[in-house]
Amino acid sequence: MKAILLTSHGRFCEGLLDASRMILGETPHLYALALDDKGVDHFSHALDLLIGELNQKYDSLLILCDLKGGTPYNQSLKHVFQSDGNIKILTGMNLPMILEIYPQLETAGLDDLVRKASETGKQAITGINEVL
Amino acid sequence: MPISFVRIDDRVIHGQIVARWSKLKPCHGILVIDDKIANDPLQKQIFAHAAPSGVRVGIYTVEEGIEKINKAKQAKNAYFVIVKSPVTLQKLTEAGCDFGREINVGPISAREATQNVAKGVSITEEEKKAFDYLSNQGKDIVFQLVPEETPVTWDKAKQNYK
Repeated sequence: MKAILLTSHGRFCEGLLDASRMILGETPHLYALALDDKGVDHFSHALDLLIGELNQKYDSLLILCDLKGGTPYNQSLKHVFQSDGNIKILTGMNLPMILEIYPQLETAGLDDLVRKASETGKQAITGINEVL
Repeated sequence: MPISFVRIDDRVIHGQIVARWSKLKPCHGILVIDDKIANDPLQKQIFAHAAPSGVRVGIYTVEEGIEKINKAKQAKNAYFVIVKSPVTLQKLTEAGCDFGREINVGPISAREATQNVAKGVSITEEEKKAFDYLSNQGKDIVFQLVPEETPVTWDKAKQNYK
């Protein structure tokens, strides 16, 4: 089984988790960890513990981050590089990408989830439709 | 193109750099100068992937940094120089490396035996001495985490060091 972990500056990730649940219902394989005022070391330690736990429970993990180069991303990247390919990462997370891939966690492969999340996330940024 | 931004920041490349400073100042590449990071393959790999798309990152020891800064000053592209501590900039200056007059200071975490001198900045005695050295060398040292904040000079910040 696979899991998704959301990480962000402040509580954006917790808000996204909340929003996902509002639409999808229970989301037991969706996790969130926020970088807060307690700082980088605190976040890094909490992330080590959580990813250790998820590694026991799941075969693979997709980490979604808010901002490329931000601290939540940099700290998560460490785990990607240390993994044997079973942890992947994407930045620029948004609600549509989560809604798209969460229901496919069991059926789709990890690389497939990354591709779908990326495509859906980009397509989701749009204004009103052109009228014929 | 000169070195467009010199920053002391113990988080090195992170949100304040990628989302704010690199939008405000020309940045084609980032030179991270830190002996510890340069000798740690995992940290090196992380920061090499932390820059915004299209911005290249080089991570160097102080010794390599001297040569890279001199090279960057001759290049067409604009470079950021990021170090974790004022002590690194002192070493560069003592070695005769001229990275420009302005120094921006971002977050430096509280550690054992540090004192808070500005928002998000705590320094040791050694770091205080390094700031004084740089100031005496004619550097303009400004504490400012993001461009939206009012800059605080070293002369003012050092008054908070008891």
